[in-house]
Amino acid sequence: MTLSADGFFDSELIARLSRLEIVAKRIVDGFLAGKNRSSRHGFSVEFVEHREYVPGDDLRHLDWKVLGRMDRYYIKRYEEETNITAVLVLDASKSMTYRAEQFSDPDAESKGLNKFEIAATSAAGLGYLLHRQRDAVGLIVHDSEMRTFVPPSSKVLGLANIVSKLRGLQPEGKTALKPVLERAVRELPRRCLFILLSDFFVSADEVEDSLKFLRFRGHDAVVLQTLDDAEMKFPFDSNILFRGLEDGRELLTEPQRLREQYLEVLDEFLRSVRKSTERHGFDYQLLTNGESISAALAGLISRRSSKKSGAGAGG
Amino acid sequence: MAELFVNPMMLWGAALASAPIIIHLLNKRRYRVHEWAAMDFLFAAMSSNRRRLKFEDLLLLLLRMLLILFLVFAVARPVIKGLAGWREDERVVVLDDSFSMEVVGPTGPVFESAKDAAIQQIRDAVGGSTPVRFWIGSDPLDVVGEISANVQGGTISDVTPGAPVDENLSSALAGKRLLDRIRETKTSDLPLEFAAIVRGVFEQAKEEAAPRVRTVVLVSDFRSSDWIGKDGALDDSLQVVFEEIEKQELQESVRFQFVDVGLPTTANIAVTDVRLEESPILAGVTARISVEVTNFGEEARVGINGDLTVRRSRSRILDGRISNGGLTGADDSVDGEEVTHSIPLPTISSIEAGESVRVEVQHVFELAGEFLLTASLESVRLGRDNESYLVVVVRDSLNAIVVDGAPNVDRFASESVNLLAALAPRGDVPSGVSTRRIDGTFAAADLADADAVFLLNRAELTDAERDVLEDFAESGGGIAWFVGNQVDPVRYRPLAVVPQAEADRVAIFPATLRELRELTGPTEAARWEIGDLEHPTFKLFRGLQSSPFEHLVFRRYFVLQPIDGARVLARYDDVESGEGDGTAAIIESLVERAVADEESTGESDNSARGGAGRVVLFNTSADRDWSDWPTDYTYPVLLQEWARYLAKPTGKERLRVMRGVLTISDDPGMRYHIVAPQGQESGVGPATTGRGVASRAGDTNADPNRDDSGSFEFEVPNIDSIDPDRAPSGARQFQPKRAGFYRLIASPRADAVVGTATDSAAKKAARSKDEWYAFRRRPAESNLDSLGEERLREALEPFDLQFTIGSEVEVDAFRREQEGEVWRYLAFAAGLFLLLELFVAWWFGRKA
Repeated sequence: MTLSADGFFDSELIARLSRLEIVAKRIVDGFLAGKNRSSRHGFSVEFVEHREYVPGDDLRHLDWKVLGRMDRYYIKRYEEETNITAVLVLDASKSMTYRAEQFSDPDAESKGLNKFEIAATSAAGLGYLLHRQRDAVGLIVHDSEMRTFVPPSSKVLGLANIVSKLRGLQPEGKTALKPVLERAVRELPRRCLFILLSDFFVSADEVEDSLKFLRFRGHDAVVLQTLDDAEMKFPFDSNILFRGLEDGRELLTEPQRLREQYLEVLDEFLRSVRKSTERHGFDYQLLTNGESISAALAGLISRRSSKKSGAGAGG
Repeated sequence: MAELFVNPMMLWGAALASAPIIIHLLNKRRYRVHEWAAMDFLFAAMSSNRRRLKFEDLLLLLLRMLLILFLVFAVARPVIKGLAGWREDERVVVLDDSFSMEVVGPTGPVFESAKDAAIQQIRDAVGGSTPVRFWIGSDPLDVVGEISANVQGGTISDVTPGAPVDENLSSALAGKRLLDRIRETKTSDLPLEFAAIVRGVFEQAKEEAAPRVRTVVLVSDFRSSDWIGKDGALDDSLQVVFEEIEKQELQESVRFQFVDVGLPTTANIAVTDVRLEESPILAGVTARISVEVTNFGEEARVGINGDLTVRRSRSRILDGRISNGGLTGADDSVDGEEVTHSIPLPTISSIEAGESVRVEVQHVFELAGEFLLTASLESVRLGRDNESYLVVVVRDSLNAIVVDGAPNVDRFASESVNLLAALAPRGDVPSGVSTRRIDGTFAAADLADADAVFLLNRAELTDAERDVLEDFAESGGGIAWFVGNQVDPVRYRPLAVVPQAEADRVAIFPATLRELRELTGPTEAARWEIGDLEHPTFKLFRGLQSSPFEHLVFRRYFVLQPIDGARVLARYDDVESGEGDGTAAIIESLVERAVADEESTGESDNSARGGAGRVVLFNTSADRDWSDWPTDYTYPVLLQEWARYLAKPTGKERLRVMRGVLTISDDPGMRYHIVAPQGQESGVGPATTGRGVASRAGDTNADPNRDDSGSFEFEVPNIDSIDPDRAPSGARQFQPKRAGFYRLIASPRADAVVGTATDSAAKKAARSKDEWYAFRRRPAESNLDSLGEERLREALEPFDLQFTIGSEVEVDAFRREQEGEVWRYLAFAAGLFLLLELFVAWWFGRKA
């Protein structure tokens, strides 16, 4: 996987998602409308634009007049289809810059990317998809506080603005989540879909509190936790002085003798985050540079689509 | 430090024990920095494992340090002297020179191997700066040589001429002399005295203020007879010594190293005894001589031949009396000063393993004198034990003293007339008994040359007479009692019953007399019923159709009670009743002699009674008053037999079993000369000359003179007091080292004691004593049965002793063993630590 000229539009990722148009459609639908369909029944009658038909579109929305006049298939889009407001909440703390290149899988899709780059790429990709659906997409970049806020917009300039913000980011500082979300909720009057991209190297309680906060405010959330493969496997040996990226703390140890305990602590933390996410009805996906980001995102979208279908069938 | 470790320089390697710490610390400094995001998780993992990791680090460090330390110590080979292990302050080397060491093995004489082993032990001890004392195994009294610890360079070698003699050099010279002496040492016929030597060692240890650790090295062939007693257990003397070591808790300061140089084969045949079947031997009377041959091997032996050589000694006693050497027979030969006569022994068809066979020959010594008898076999294995020796003193006649209790000027009215005539009748055929009559009291001088004394009708004995008789009987003399009308039963009672308070007295009368029984009726008469015709004195009457005594009539006798231990040979029967009253007529008893232990003195008696004087009571009178026996033909026959039977046995004083001594009375101014066996004169040295021991206090010369001719000579006033326990006061003793015939010459004139063959008559006349003695080795010395390592261990197992046993020449076995053990233990421990370290390291890192 390589970065595009924009820095974060991963062409392969976009292509993969775009090629699978049926899947992509379902992904996007599922991704964006899964939880919001019940809040507003039916589509708005306010026409917004046409778009080209892609297999899988509901034929009820086919513009027959255009078909008869131009013999081309267009789908009419209404305001109601774009009523989802998504906010990409990107963690730009120093810990997100970690990358253990010597331990990364050379064949992996995210080879050479650090956690921030993985998160940014994922955010850009998802932003692009959302924008293609004319959904409003906003961006919050934070470390211990909100550093950048791009209000949600469905306009082309809105996506360009997001990309330009992402391009110039330099991760710094420590991570804090809840104060950032509290401020974001204050800034956003509507209910939104918060897409949280972070390593969540805060306390499990803060993660829990943050997600609980979003749920009580009626927001939806998707948790995309990004970790480096070395953080997952702790494959070190010989003596290593570990120096903290965010706080500069140091620890000299023989990693092989600490591996088991480290992995236990990490696993406990990951399970805690996952449980908090599921407890509040949100979705969770782990992104690592040892695995394919697109596959992981596709898996996430697929799960949300299933959830949407399940919810539709149910009523 | 050099005494504690064989390779002390290797101890510098102990510094390597710090290597793990240094490596650990260096390792701590060698790390790479890694920027890390999930520090919280790392600290959380660390906080819960910090103590475990530290413990693991410390444990691994400890194991690695111990591994290195143990390896270094193992290579340094600790001796641990003064700590828990090896220490040796003195080495006592004992070389067994007993007769059995003469055996020759496939690689040469065993004794030569033993000497090499002993020398090696000494060299090794000196090399380790350990003082040495060396003993010859047969001589527990004297240390042969000592070497102090400070021998220069730790080696004994020749000294460069002209080199300055300092203390080190002096020690080296002493060592050289000792080794030379060991090389010249020959075997002896004395038994191994290991127990006595060990006793001497630990007696010395007990007196030391600071405990010293000794190694007692015995180089021997470890024969069973030296170690195992008749009961199959360890020999009593060794047992006592080892128990004493335990009791004194000297196990840590006395340890034993047994170097076995013996051979596994045990086959051997030896002459184990030559003895007279009758004693004393009278000239012209047939003597029965028996020779015992023992098969010590494990297989039966057949067809054994030998002979008995009789040599007539030309001693002063005989010279001038005989002209033809006193020997008869066609085989007589004259060789220089000796006349020899060889008698073939009956062929022994077979001897089973471990059995003895005795063969007998008869010989008539025509004249009195000293005869040297050598019984020898065809050579079998050990050459010298195919011979055994005996000195026979042949006498012209026996001396019988007749004490007449009722003397009378009328010769024929005397009590003794019949008896004197019976013992020494006139005529052409001598009875072999010389008589002398004493009227009235008698004294010790009267019995000095007597073989037997006949007491006739004595009313009583004075105290002095009783003392004389007791001494006479205790020295082996015989006493014959005849009763009579003067005998008072009450006065005789103390002679038969000795009160416990008078422990120094002995019973010299075999019965307590009660009342006199008289058969006065015309038809009343008692007769003898002989109870035991097997008795030696009745042997001439055996085989007769009727009793030769049945026609004898006895009219008076004492009713009596035999004392305990007395033997009734004949009883009085009542003629009328035909049943008799059973009163004893002839009673025999023995006067027990309070002699020293035969084993300690080595004096042996070849007669059956072992030195006790015989006593016989004829319960009748010696004259015709009480019976008609004195006029019967059986009277002289029986009494002549009794005279011989009662006589002092001869020959025992001329026989010694090795380790026994020749005790010589102390006559100030007398010179003594002892001539060693001719065949051994070429072997000059301690083995042939023996040693003199005397008890005179205050004398200064430790050893009598020895000369190179193999003779042994000393003068009475110059004898040192060496062993008061072994030599009676006022006497000196001679103990040879080899068996054979030894000649003792004593004279106040110095020129009279030297020389034998060409003695002039004047020289001979000046000699107050010129006697031959036979020294015979113990039969057990010919038994080559080896104890073996296993049996020796079993024998020593009950005792808490430190000992090692080896068939090889184990040089410094203890030291090597202990060092070896420590070295092995340390190496083994290091190996264990290595395995443990590997396991622990794997265990600690297995989850990595």
